[in-house]
Amino acid sequence: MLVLPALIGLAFLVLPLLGLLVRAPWSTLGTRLARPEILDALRLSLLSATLATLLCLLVGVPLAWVLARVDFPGRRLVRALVTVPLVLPPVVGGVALLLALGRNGLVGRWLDRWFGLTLPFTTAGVVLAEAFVALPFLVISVEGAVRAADLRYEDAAATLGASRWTTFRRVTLPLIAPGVGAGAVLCWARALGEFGATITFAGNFPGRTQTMPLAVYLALENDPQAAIVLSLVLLAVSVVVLAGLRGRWVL
Amino acid sequence: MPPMPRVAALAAAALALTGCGIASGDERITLNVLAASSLTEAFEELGTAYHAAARNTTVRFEFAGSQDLAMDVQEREPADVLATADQASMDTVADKVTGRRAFAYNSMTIAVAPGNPRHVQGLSSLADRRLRVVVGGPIVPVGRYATQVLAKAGVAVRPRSEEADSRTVLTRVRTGAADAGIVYVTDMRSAGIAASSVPIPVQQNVTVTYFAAALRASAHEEAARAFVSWLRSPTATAILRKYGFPTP
Repeated sequence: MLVLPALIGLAFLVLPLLGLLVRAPWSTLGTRLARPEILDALRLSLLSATLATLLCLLVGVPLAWVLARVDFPGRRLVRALVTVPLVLPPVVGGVALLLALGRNGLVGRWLDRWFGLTLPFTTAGVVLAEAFVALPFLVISVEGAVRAADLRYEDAAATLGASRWTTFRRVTLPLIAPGVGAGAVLCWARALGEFGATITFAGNFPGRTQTMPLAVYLALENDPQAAIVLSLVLLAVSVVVLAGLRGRWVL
Repeated sequence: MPPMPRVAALAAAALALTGCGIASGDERITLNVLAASSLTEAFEELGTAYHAAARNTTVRFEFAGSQDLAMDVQEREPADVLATADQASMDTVADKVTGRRAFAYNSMTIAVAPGNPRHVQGLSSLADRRLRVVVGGPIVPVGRYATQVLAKAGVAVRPRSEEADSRTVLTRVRTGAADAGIVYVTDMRSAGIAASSVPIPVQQNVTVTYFAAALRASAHEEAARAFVSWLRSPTATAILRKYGFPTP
């Protein structure tokens, strides 16, 4: 009873990927991959996804810890707000970022006026757009790990005189390391595939804001073969990341 | 006229049943028209006018960049008419269309913030590195035309972003993200007071030609060809001119 729908489900997920593999221009793959615009997009994608992940770790781990450990009024609302980018269409996220951090945005106009800093059309803008969309993946993963960690270890550290920060650094962080690792990998993978928020907020320019997904989209209209090659690279990266995850952490 | 209420009732019933269009003949046709995004406002009014003229035909539009639309045709998306903002996009699907004809023209202009606060004088001003300039990507018509006018003026510009269609270029200027962008003259109407424009002189400008054609794969090829021909009628050209498109 269950096998047939399960097989249909599997085929539904695998068939499009198979299409990608079958239609790929294998014979010219090497020369196409070595083209400077593809390397530019790949380099920019890896760089911006890594920076976005670091940014998410910096603010996401503390946020997850607060959500899991500190009881404050409105915690459920805050948790709901954190997950909003998960369900929000990324293009809407990009528009929201423009309204907040764009050159005439709520905060952006002051950044421009005081520091001469504008985020749209810059690699920093790409990193922010990716972090906005990917942060919930990290927070949810880490919050789960913090909740699952045994409170008694932290209590024991506290009774031995460790400060809250020392306890967090020396006890909590090692306990939740696998959760942080899994969250960071998911966060990185999501950032790598980000399209809507990036093109809306950061624009599109080769070498500066044109990441792999943007290059795929724009190549599709001009050179579908190049789009397939770019897609293959993204697919390979995703598979490697997920395979690595499965081996090391329970997902 | 005694029969009128009955006809109206029938029409209302048809409207209620189908949710669109008013039926009068035996056959009701819905034409799906793929049109370049710069045609948006003009074609929406043309659709209404065509329905008033040919009451059994309802026209539905899908607007996107011309190269996107040509790709949709390549991928055999069901549609009846294709209208592009250049000849190149139409050429890529030459074997899939029939009865192609030019029906409107356009040209380029520089979109700037309202009142032109950065004092853009013309194309040569765009070479200033402090000015944030946005153009269409090299593969979309609005981007190719921008490259052509800049080449004619002998101006080298380093754009901040290359957008996927003309309306996105204009949006960048409207939201203040960019100081200037090269768009179609007709786009400026849609911006209203949210943007000003700095004209590009004729000798530096290009003539953009819009082409329309019926798709061979259409289930209503006859009706599709009729619509394409109608685009050259006095009614249609009056509407196109109203939206700023010169016509043949």
